[in-house]
Amino acid sequence: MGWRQLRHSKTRLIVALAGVAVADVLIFMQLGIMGALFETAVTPLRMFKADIVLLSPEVRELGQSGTLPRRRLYQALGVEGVASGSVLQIGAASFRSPSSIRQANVMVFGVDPDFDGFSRPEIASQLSKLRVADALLFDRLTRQPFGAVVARAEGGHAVPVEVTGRTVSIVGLFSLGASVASDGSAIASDQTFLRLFPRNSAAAASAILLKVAPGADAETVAERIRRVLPASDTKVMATEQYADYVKQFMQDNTPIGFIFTFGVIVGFFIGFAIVYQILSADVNDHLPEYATLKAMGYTHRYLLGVVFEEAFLLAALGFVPGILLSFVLYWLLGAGTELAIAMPASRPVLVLAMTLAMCLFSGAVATRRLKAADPADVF
Amino acid sequence: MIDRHHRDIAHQHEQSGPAIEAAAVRHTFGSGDTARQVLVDFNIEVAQGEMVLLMGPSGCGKTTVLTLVGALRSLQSGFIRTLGKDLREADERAMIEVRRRIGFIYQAHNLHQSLTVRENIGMALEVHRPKAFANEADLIDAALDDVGMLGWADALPATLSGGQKQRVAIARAVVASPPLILADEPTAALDKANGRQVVDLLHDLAKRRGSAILMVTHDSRILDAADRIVEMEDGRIVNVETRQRPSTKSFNQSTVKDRRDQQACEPQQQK
Ligand SMILES: Nc1ncnc2c1ncn2[C@@H]1O[C@H](COP(=O)(O)OP(=O)(O)OP(=O)(O)O)[C@@H](O)[C@H]1O
Ligand SMILES: [Mg+2]
Repeated sequence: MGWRQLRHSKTRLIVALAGVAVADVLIFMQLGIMGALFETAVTPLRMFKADIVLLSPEVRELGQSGTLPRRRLYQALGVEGVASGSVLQIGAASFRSPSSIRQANVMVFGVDPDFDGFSRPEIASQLSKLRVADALLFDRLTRQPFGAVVARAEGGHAVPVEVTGRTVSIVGLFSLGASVASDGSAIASDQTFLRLFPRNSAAAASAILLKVAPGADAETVAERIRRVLPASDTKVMATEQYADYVKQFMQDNTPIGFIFTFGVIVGFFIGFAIVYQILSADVNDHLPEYATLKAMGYTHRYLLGVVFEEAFLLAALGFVPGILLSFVLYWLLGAGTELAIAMPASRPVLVLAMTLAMCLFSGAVATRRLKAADPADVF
Repeated sequence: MIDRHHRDIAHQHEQSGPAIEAAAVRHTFGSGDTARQVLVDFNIEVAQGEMVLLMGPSGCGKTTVLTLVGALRSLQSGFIRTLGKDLREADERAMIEVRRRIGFIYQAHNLHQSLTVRENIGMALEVHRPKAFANEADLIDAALDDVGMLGWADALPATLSGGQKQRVAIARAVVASPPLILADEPTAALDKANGRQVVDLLHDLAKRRGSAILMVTHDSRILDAADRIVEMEDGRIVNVETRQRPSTKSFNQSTVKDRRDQQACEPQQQK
């Protein structure tokens, strides 16, 4: 019945489905871009092979890690299930290209040149170059104006750049990509790092990266470490947990999170408004018919069923073009920018649930008009 | 071809006693200063299978009577028993049960625009379901055949003429062989020939199916079809005329089409 009614007025059906699809695309795009932006905030973390990260309890995001005592590394190595570990220094600095006065905010990671915790062979194979003082590996995907610098470094030259008043040289390149938090990344030896950030102490670490023994469960080992290390200066997290923490932190504390969440809500209400308009116009148009049905002995509940069936159908049928179009747009956006927009499995479920809520909610509001269908008024 | 067996069962309607009994019914619309008493001590009784016309000037309360008798409106004061159900004590649920056993015909056809003729009639059968119809499709075909609309079963109402729509509405009202049919000016929107046809059809179908009819009409051309004519004025009955209908039997035995031709030749009966 609901379907027959929807199908009967084709224009109305098409407008409603387009409305639902547009709302879904809006929501998908907001969630997609927000997810991709927050994902960039933790991409540097993906360079490392760590299973567990030890951090200062004051950690906020990757570039604002705070510090914890370096000796926590040796204590953690004594815990059952921990295979290896190393200290990581993190700092943010302004880089200036010699050919430009513009600056870029670059995240610098300081590691022991013998560190074997990089997951990318491209980086691991170049670490020995960092034994030279003031040498850096540089992210070739760093935002402009470093194109010229990168081009020269690609040619195998050591390229000088100015970092917080010091001149250092780029001795190698790797690919990571800019993030919401920084324009790019660089890797230095711990010695060089301490020269660039004289306020950091050699006795302190920004983070301690741990690998667990093969077969050991990161979360279980993390729990063991928590029991050994003082919570007052050390926070123990599995790497994924830390990544989620950073993303959540960004979502809660940056305007980005607010803007996109707002966008999602706007999408929801656009869909709600369109579906409500369509459904209530439909109920209005059919009031005499509904009243006739009541006179024939159909219950009010039956009529509610008709309206909710329409709402449900609009949600289900509008979602399909919505998600298809979103896939295309994700792909186009991914191809056109450095932002790789992924579609985690949970997102279609979330958006479908929102679409159903949107349509059923508008259906519920539209059924208020049904009360006007009085069987005594049909005559 | 339609199985005549389905078509011509004179249904045994369960309850004994009149189809409608109403006594001392009063009805007031509005309250306070705007209150308007529409029915004043209204009484009527319609026997099973009887066809009664309800006439009277505009605004005298005819439609109000139908809505009360048809359990479409709550009874305020007085007594109404429709199809054996006392409406004084009827709650929403009971009112719906009563409605399901009544065929309603309106001035406008009120067909569902998005459903085909067949589906429209099916909607009426569905709600009467408890009686467990042997074959729904056959019943619909029989009803459509009776009103001469069998060829239009899969048409949408928008493609039909006014008279055709009203005939479909009649098929919808009679398809479940309800013990009572309530009709409000079913011929008002039709021209003379169509109006006549519709009333004859209704009369014939009701007689064959044993349904009582209470029909509101202004149409003096159709008076001869009635068993009784009740005249109202200002919310009460002012005159009742019982008519002689000698040829009911032969009337019933002829086919709908034959009868239409006969009546076209009949001289207009005097009131
Ligand atoms: N829902 C309502 N609310 C208020 N007044 C109403 C309502 N329905 C009918 N009335 C009034 O009750 C009176 C009787 O109405 P009713 O429809 O029963 O008349 P009727 O005899 O059917 O008239 P007509 O021949 O014009 O159809 C009219 O004066 C009308 O204005
Ligand atoms: Mg009326």
